[in-house]
Amino acid sequence: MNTTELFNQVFPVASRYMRMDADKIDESLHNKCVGIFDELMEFVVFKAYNLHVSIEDIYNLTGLKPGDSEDFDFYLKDCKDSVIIASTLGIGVDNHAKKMQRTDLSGAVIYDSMASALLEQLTDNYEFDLNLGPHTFRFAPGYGDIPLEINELIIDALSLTKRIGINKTADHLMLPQKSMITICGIGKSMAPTCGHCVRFNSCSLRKGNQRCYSV
Amino acid sequence: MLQRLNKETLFFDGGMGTMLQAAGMATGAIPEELNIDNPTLIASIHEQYLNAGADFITTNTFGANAHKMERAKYSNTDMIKAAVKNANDARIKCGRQNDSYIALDIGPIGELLAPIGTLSFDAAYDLFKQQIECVKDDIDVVIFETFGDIYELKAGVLAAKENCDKPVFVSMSFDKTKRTLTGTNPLTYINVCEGLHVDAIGVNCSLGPKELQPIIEDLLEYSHLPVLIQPNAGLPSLKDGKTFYELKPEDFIEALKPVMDKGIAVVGGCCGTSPSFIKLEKENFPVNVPSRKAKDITAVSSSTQTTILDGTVKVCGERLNPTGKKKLQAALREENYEMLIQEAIAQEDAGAKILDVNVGLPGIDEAEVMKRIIPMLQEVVSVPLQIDSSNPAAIEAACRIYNGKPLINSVNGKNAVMEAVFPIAQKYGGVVIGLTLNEEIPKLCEERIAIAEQIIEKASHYGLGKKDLVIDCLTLTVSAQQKEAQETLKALRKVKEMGMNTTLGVSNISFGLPNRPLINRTFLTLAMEAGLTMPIINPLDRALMDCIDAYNVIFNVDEGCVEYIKRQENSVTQIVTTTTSGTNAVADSDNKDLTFYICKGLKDEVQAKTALELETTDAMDLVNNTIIPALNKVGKEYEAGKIFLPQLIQAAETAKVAFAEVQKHFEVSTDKKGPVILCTVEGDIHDIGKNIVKVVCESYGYEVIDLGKDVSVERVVEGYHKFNPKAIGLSALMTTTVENMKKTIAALKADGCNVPIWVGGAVLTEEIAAEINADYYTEDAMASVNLLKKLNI
Repeated sequence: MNTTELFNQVFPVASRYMRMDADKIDESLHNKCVGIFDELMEFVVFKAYNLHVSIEDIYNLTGLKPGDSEDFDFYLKDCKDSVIIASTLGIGVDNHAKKMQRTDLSGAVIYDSMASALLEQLTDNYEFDLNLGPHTFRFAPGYGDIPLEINELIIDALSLTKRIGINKTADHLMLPQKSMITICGIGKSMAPTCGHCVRFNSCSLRKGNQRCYSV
Repeated sequence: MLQRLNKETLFFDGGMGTMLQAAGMATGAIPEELNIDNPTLIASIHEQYLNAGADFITTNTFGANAHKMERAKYSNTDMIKAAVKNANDARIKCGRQNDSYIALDIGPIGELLAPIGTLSFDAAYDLFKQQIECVKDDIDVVIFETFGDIYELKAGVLAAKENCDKPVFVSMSFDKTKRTLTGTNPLTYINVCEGLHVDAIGVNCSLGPKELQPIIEDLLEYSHLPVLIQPNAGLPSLKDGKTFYELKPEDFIEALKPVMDKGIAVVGGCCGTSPSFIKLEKENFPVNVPSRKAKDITAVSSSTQTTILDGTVKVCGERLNPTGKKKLQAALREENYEMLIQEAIAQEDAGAKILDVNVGLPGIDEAEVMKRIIPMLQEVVSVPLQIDSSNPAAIEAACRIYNGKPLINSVNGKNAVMEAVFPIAQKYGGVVIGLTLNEEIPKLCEERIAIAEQIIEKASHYGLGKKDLVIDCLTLTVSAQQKEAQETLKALRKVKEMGMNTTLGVSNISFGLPNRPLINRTFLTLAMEAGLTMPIINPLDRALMDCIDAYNVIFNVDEGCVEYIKRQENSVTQIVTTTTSGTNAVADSDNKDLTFYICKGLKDEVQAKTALELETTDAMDLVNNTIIPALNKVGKEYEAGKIFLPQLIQAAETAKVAFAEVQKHFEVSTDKKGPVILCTVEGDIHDIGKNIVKVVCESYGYEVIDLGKDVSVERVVEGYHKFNPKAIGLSALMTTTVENMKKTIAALKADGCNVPIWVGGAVLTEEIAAEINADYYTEDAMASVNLLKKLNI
């Protein structure tokens, strides 16, 4: 996939993140977004890793017991297996973002949204190539009542720092900032939903009948 | 062991994790616990490697730092002690006490250091220190391996060297682009670690022997240290959820052969390798280390870039220096470092390859300011820094916290100065500028060369060679000492003949004369011809930089005039673009007023437009009748969904430039509103939202004191007392850090804070804001401005 095709996939999602209505964007802003996407691509080093884990082991690995997290239980119910997918755009993206915030904050906002959307897109492509068969959408620690803390257990268990460069912070965040650790339940289909999102009642996208994910 | 190192080929062991997984260790188990739970298993793995011929056995302690081992059932130091005992038991059992070595294995902490992450350099140092101290008398070598961050590695090496007398080996992991995870290339890695005087330097993990070959060849070409390699058994593949490595022992050996004849001192294996790999290595590789000659270069590094002083001209930017700059002096005194950061970015973008950093001002704790400013600068610029101070304590503080290998400015011919500064360069690594002066600047070339020779001689006592020095032949002012200007040029020639690099503060030449740029350009050209390789100049002075471009063309440095044409053609192209592009806003703007410039966000053009308007309009009228109404128009359009966040910010940044121009031309008091404090709370490093609020508030005339990101509760309380704000804004992106927001609010209120506290960030809502006792919640930057207006702040 060339950069233009990738941009065309990523831009609508990034626009939603910026609460921009694609129909109302003028040429100058659109061109700026194209330029910034090209700039972003210079710093992207996408890396991903996956591991199939049995349902029993995913509970062991995350330290969760059935009943600890309603959402975790709900997503994995009736699944025969699970796969952990971790991905990152690399620390170069973070470093350039910091410089950009000092020199062109408007551009930095576009860059940040583009990077988030790009990570989703590249991870979608990676997931597609795994041929998982029927599976749930990718859910992540921090969704609903799934504790964010399990990120660091997964980072250690899968040696993600060594393999693809994902680090944890003392407050359970991940670095590089554009990194994801997600889980798919295998054996049943389930589309993404915002029903369990902490911003369910306050999300401006939802109020505008939009979603942060592609539907 | 050091007697054998780099003479006999020595052999490390192979993968420990691979052997543990083969023995049935479950995914997610903590391998270090096995040191206590199953010492027989661990010792048996060491025995297998010793019997295969390994000279070094690596303790099962890769992740045994206190942070990573928080959830383990034993203390990390107990597990480390048990691991060393297991290794020693295996050595005794195999009868190898006298000819094998226990390597204390230390892997990355698993958290990135500030400013990229939140772990401080000192905290990382303490974690490593604890790992080493508990077994320092029972090991033979400390090995830091699989590191992706050179800064973390520096903390580790210092912890080892300052707390243990055993040799230190280092090994980083690279990907196929020849970069580590934080962007370090092999040359930078070598330059930094040679400066830190480790005992062996190497590469391990991530890739197999074939893919690692280009990186190994760089190590062999540039490193004067023994080279250590521990590749994976090829590239991994996943089958049925399990990891497999592609190479069999025979293939592994075959793939390594091309480099083994070139001078590898120590070889072993990493993931996927087992005792059979080590046995074949021992049988197939040279008994003695083939000799090699590494290149001598003078080079300074950041964490991602190395500037080689190779005789061609490399500009050192001079502008991070408060001497003669009142605004910068005031900013340093007020601890407002934004101006320094902007200057640094501008100089790097203008082509500087090194940036001089001087924060010397009366009444300022120079060491403390260096410790703060160096990481802030390194967060946004990639070029190496030159630490410029006459205060050895400040130089040491800066060298310690610096990420890379710096240039140190400077020593002179005085013994006391050299005796204070050379040990710092020797300990942390650094190239030192030697000023050719004693009590005063000698007039004659010969006297300056004599001082240069004294400096070279003295440096050698500290293990610093000519390649670790740059000589400053000193520029004198022609208006006062006209004859001596030529002595400087003569001295440059002499130093060049000595095979060394030279530097000069170029603009000193023209003090007191009219049309200084003419003298500066002429002198720079003559000096480059005489041998000047590192002019310290203002890289934003395009005419001076153009001189260097022209010089590089005439002296065949810029072969094919590629760089010259690129830069000179670009400047012509820009003019054509701005005059012929009929559709863009810039071209459209010719006949528009300042409102148009602000609404369209023409940040690069607005300064000139404002200056033009000020020729015919009163300053306060311009602010009240044009700039503020323009901002209000933009704000309303944003709220109505006619324009979007990037455009709102662009307009706000443009208005800020216009305000700055008004103040510059007329020295009017534009009565700033506020001040307000803004920060992202402790533990949270996501600061783009806070930065947006800051810019938009500033564009509306609010003085914003930005405490930064990951700001501790104590620092916010301290800021409240110090700056006496009218409101405090707190930002957090993640649910986990909202808790720290709550703690910050509680601490402020417990301390008697009676100004409004407002909060914002992705996970916050009105309800959460109320729960954590914030006074107000705002959804975005415009809402923050509207809130401040409503509160009459």
